[in-house]
Amino acid sequence: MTNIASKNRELLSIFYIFLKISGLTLGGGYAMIPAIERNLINKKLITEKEFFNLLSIAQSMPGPIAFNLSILLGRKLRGFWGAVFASFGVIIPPFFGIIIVASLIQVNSGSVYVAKFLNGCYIATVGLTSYVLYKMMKNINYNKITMPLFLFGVLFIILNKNLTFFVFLFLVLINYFYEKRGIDC
Amino acid sequence: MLNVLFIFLYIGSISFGGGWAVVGLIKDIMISQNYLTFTEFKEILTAAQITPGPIAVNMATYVGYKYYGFIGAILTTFFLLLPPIIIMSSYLILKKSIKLKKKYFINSLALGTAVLVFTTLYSLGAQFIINFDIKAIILVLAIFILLIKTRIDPIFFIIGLGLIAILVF
Repeated sequence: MTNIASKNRELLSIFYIFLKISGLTLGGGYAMIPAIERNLINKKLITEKEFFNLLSIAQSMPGPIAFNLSILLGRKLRGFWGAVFASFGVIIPPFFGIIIVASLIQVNSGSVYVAKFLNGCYIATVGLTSYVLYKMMKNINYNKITMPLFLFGVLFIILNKNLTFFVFLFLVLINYFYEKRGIDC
Repeated sequence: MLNVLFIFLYIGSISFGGGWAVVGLIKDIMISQNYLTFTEFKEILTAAQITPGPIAVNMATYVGYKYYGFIGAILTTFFLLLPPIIIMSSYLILKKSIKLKKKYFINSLALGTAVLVFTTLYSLGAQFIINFDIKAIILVLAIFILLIKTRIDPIFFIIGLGLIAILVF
């Protein structure tokens, strides 16, 4: 039996992990994904397979992906309160960050150094996103139609961004029924 | 006030795919409804980039703060996140009663997600290839390889590359 004090400590450490990641990853939600993955997997709190399954679920819901992911991971680690603490950890740094910056924006937006620094962060974000793509592709079980569906989806979304969600839904359903049918036969 | 909250509730419930897709949506709605000018929008984008966290959250907080102060910031942020909170909770509650072959469903979601990650990568990085920006391409590849081969915390790359960019670019 775990006592209440150690349970509270675990919740606080979940809060702290997500607070730290959210507070230090400039470059938006996508940059946070590999940071969360590394921190949780290195601490052996979750396996790679579990992480990418939850990422797929987080992506299929509306809302910022890092926020959705924090709810799913928090819940997986420590139930309802885990989800609450993890999602607050993700939201607090951007919330107070923007309020501080909103009062100083004139000072910051003109600076050459800030622009250069952001440009570097942006390049890093592209690198991190390509890593997420690599891991995602590695964790898919491939069948005959997986790659054709992938190429079809990429092409359609690049041609028309408004179709994004419908293409996503279409791919998921086609692949699901294809794989299910394979078993029934 | 209610109108702004409704707008963010709406954005929160249709923002699939995350990131920059949502930024475009917020821009269109905020500018067409005269809550922001284009110049203001660009300022917020800068603010959103120099602060951590999801850009959609940054935008909601900023607009709320600008028009209605601290309480407004809390409310707009909360309303943006309300739809995902409701949908995620109902998913987690209903999960057990939905009859799907879970293994195949998760794998199909993974395929859809890989497509979305690819298109995000394309919209973020295609400009490096089009402009033939060798320095950026090499840095992206270097980070990619280092992430696969080592266990370095990705946060290090973000802050580190920002500092390198001040010196090199």
